[in-house]
Order: sequence, then structure tokens, then C-alpha cells
Amino acid sequence: MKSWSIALVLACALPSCVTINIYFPAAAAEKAADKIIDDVWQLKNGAGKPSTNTVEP
Amino acid sequence: MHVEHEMGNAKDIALKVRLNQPKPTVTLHAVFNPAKTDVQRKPEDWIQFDLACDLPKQLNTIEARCINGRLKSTRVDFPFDLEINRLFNPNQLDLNATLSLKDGSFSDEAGLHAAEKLTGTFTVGLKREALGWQWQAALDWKAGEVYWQPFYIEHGGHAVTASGTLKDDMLHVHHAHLKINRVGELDADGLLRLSDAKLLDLNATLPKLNLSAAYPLLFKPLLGNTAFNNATIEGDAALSLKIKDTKLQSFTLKLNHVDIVDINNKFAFYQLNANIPWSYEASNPVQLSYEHGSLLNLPLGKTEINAEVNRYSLTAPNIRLPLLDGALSLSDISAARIRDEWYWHLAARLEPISMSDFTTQLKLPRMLGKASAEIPLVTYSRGILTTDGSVVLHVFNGTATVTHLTMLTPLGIAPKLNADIALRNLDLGELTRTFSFGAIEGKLDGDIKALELQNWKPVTFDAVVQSSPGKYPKKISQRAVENISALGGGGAAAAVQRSFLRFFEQFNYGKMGLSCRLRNDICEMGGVESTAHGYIIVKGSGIPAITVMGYNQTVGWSELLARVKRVTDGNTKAVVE
Amino acid sequence: MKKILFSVLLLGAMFASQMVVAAADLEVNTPAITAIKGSMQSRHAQLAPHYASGAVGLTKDGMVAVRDANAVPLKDRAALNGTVAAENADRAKLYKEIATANGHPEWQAEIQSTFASRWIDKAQGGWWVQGAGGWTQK
Repeated sequence: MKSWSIALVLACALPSCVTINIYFPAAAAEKAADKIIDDVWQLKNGAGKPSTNTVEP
Repeated sequence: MHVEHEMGNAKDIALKVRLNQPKPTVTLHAVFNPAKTDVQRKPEDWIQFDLACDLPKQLNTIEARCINGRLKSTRVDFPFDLEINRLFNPNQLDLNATLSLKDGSFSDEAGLHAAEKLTGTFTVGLKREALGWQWQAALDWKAGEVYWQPFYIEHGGHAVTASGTLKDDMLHVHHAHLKINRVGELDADGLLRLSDAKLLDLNATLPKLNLSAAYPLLFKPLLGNTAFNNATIEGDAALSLKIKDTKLQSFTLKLNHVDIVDINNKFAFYQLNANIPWSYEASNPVQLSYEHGSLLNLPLGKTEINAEVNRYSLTAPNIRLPLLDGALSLSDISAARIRDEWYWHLAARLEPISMSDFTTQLKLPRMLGKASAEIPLVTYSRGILTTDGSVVLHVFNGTATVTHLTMLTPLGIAPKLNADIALRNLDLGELTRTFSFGAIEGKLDGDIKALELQNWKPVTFDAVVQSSPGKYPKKISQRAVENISALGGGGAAAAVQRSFLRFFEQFNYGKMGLSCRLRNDICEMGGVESTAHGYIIVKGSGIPAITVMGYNQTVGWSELLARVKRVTDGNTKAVVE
Repeated sequence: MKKILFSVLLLGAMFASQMVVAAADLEVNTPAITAIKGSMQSRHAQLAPHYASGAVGLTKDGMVAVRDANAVPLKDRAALNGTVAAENADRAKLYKEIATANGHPEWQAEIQSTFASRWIDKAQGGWWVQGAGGWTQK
């Protein structure tokens, strides 16, 4: 019981409390990047199928 | 023959001297490869050099004509003729030579410095004197195009002539004349230190600069992504400047009858005249005026600006910019350029302008009344516009007070605006007429806190609008009830529609209000009171009493906007099922 | 002591997992991001042929650069440069905007490097991309 309460105090006194907050969501960022790139480059569903030569004649 | 040296390699060298012919000639052919520290040298980097010259018969004054000379590599092709008219005067070097380039071209690896079909002549004269050298030079660029990042020059027709003296590494230019085809002519003199290519002194005058020709050639490439890079410009400018000991001492810029129009209609100024003297030592008065113009679709009237420029700062006690039927009056203006960034502050007062003109110009729903504002302090620093105190707009017979207003890159691609807005005693009658909402009589107060607009669209706010306190007639029409119900998402309206209440044209109400807390494109809605299942938007009073309830606590913001649009577009027919 | 350490770790893990859940998706639908995206989308038609010809390549820091403009006529090179500069200004703004829209301006650099690898990954065959050793053709 005692150790738990110490742990609590420690957990929030330690800088680790803060570092958790700035954890970078790499997977989410990749997902977001893919979504935006698909939009900008007009790739269908982002399935790696590039819109082949949409250059007008 | 093959020669290897640490300066570079050469091969296929052929030097033929024919002295026994009527005209003695010398021809040279060589392929060389200057040494570079670059490891990745490709074999095609060999440079080919050819030259064939007629030699003079007397050897004391060398005259030579070399034709069909050529310097060629993968990225350079310079076919040239060289004419040496004079090489020696008795005992003294006295050179006069002309190099003519015919259809030359060059390019660097990335193609950012390149020329094609370049034709021109370069004449140089050099004579040894007691104290150094006397020189003169002329460059005549006849034809060809050049791209020298970021500048592109499409045609020839440009020329430079210059003369002066050279002593040690100091190049004195006694007089230089530069003619840029269609753009203007520049006269200059100065002193150049060759060892570090530093311009020590310069006096230059450019009496007439054709701005419509100069803008695409000289200014547009330098303006990059600024607000001014996509304009058309007509008129003349005159410039003179003086540099002493590498420092800009003074300049005078004059603009005569200049029209500047942004192609995207963000701004336009017509008949712009300016006289801008500047000097490092003293403060100078500057004048600028225009006949008319526009800014973000708002018409600007004839304006005269007088200010004082002192080194890198500018002050003006008062500038009045006529705007629509009123004016924007700026006072206590102070601006400074520090480390390539502008900082400024001023006080602003908007003299009453007609809201009906203002809203028509900005293609907003036409509002009535007048808008006026008083901002005690506007500050601009690092691209952020901040206001201290409050902007008070008089609209709909009430007031809208904007506080904590900040703006980021208002002319950029994604402008951002933050503000708090307090609405007091807005006339609901006028408001509902403006937005083609069903008629409501009464007054409205509102608070929109933590408002953030991106690209002029709201992304966050905490908004509450409700009936103003006090005694005044409070009436709501049948159609307004339907419209409000439609905003709430339908639900409530049906009950009203089916009951006997639908026979009444209008009702009295006690109070009304709606709140929306916008986050992540979702609006958390509320009313004047909460009930077990929803919230009250309009609370009835008297007989017949009508109460409009909302049940949807959260509504998608875009869905809500679509509903508002449906209601106001539907105009005479509210969409209520 | 071990027990304390363990509970600290446990708590840390709890916080961490909570954060991961909270950040399952990055907000990319603000009007500012939409405006920048729209601007880049309409510019892509101009850039695509230059990616294909190799005049413009995708850099390893999530930007674009003029790689070899020699195939582009001289008179169009200023416009090409302008397009590249405008694209880079938009890209820089996009990375910054995504970081601030998610309440973490300090993520900008990481978002930029995430984008850098995704642009290159999604580049079409034949386009030039910049790796650690310089330009290569995909």
C-alpha cells in the first residue's frame, strides 16, 4: 500500500510524466500523410495505384 | 600528343604554324580536362578548343584575326571570332581586341544558369600608363536568351559601355552606361575592389524606368511568393542612388502615374505617384498618393500620404484612406524594418461606412446600418496582426465588440484570425430580414468567445446568443418558429405544425437563445434552459404560448451550415417536414 | 524498490496507452489544411510532367527541388522555379499546420520527416527521389 502511494507521487514528479505527453504518433502521422498525399496526387484509395498519365492530349 | 599535369590533362593537341604562305597562319586544336577535386568525373567532361589565326607580317605591332574559334564541352558551346587590332605600341602593352560570339550556349548542371543562341560582341581596350592601366570596354548583347536564376532575359538589344582606370585591385569606373532594351538606361560611376568583388562607391541615375517592361524582367523574379508577385504594372519610375564605402548613403525613388493591379484582384492602385527620398544621415519627408484603388474588393478613394522617413523607420501623424462612403483613419503610425522584418503599430478609426455597400462589395447578405470602429492600437510583428482594446462595430442598431483580435498572414494562402466577439442589443427585426429568416421582433445579445477562423471559416468557438435583458416587444412569426425548429434538426417542429398553433401568424415569447460550442467540426448545442431530454430554444409567454425545444445535443458543423443555408435559401418556404 | 519501479512503469504504461488511444488519428481536416491541400492539388498538374522528366525531384526532407532543368526551355525555367518555391512554401506550411492543428507545434519536424518518406514511397516509377547517397530514379 505504501509503495503504491510513493509510486503515484513519483510517477507524477518524474519527468516521464511529461515525456509521455509528447509521444509522437508515428502510425497516425503516416496515415495522415498517406491521406493527404493521395488527395494531392489524386491517387485512388492510396492503394499504390498511381493515376497513370492523366496528361490531357 | 597527350599531356598530364596536376592542373589538368590535355590530349589530341595539334598546333600548326604555316609561315611560308602569303598569309601566315597558326591553328590550334586541343582537348583538355581541367583538374577538379570532384571524384565523379565523367569522360565526356573533356573540353574541345579550336582556334585559327592569320598572323601579321610585321611583328612589332601584332594584329591578328582569328575566325572559327570554338570552345565546346557537354554544357558549353562557344563559337567565336577574335580580332586583335593592336597588341603593342612601341615597348608598351596597348591592347585592343574584339571577341564576337555567334550562337553560343552554356548551361550549368541543374540548368539554373544557362543561355541559348547568344550572339554579341565584347570589345576591350587596355593601355599601360604610368600609374596603372587605362581601360575601356563595350558589351553589345545582340540576340539570345539567358536564364540566370531567378532572372530570365528573352531578347538581346542590351548594351554596356564603360571606361576607367585600374590600379592594383581597384577598378575605377569613370563612366558607365547601361542600356536595357525597353526598360531604361542607367548612367553610373564608381569604384570596385576586385579582390573580393566589393562595390565600394557608386553613383547611379536611372532617369526613366519603364515599369511595365521592368516588372517581369527585374522585379517579379525577386518578389517570389510575396503578395506582389502576380500583378500588372504600368507607368514610369526614376531612381538615383549613392553608395559610399560600401554603404548605401542615399537614394531617391519617384513613381509617376503608376497603375498596379493584382491579377487575382486582391489589390489595385491607380495613378500612384510617389516621391521617396532617403538618406542614411537625415530624415526626409516622403509623399505617396493614388487616385483610387481597391483592397480585397473594397474600393479605396483618392488618398494622400505624407510621412517622415528616418533611416530604417517611418512615422506619420495621420493617414486618411477613403473607403466606400466613409474612411479608415490611421494615426500615430510608426513602422520600422529590423533584421529584414517589418514591425509597425498605429491607431485606427473607421469613419462610418454603409453596411449595405460593404456587404454588397464582399458578396455577403446585404445588411443595413452603418459600421464604425475605433481601435486604439494595432500592432504588426513577425507576420501577426494584433489589436489592443476593442473594435466596436455598430450594426443592426446594436453593437458588435471585437476584442483580442489577432490575424496571421491576412493576404496569404491560409489566413488565420482569432477574436472574441460580444454582440449587444442587435435588432432581431433587421437581422432576420437581412438573412431571409422568418420575422422575429426583439433584441439579441451574444458572446462568441475563442473564435478561430482559418481561411475565413470558423474552426473553434464558444458561442451563446440570447434575448437581451430589458423590456421590449418580443414577437416571433410562425415561419421563424419553423426555421428555428429546422435548425434544431426537425424533431420539435412537427408538434407545432400538427397542433392548433399553426393557425397563428405570430406569437409572443419570453426569451430565446441558442448556444454552440464548436470543436473538431462538431457543434455541442444548448438553449436558454435545459430539460431532461433537450434544451429550450424559444420559451413562450402569454397565450398562445409556444416553446421550441431542441433535442440534438451535438450537430456536425457542416450539417448545421447546410441547414442554415437551406432555411435562408428557402426564403418564403421553410423546409420543415 | 523493485516494486516501486514496477508500479512507476505500470503507471507510465497506462498514461502512454491512454495517449496512444487519444492520438489514434491526426486531425487533418481544418480549413487551413484543406486550403493548403487544395493549392497543392491544383499545382500538381504543373509539377507532374516535371517529376516524370526528372527536372524536379522529391528531396529527402519532404520538399521538392529543381534537379536538372536542362530539358525545360529557358523561358519556362523561371516559372518552374516559381512553382517549386510555391510548392515548398505550401509544404512547409502544411507540416506546421498539421502540428499546430493537433496541439503539438513541436511535432512539425517529425511530421515533415514522416511525409518525406511517404512522398518518396508513393512516387511513381521514373520519378527522381533523393536518398542518403543523392538522386536516384525510382
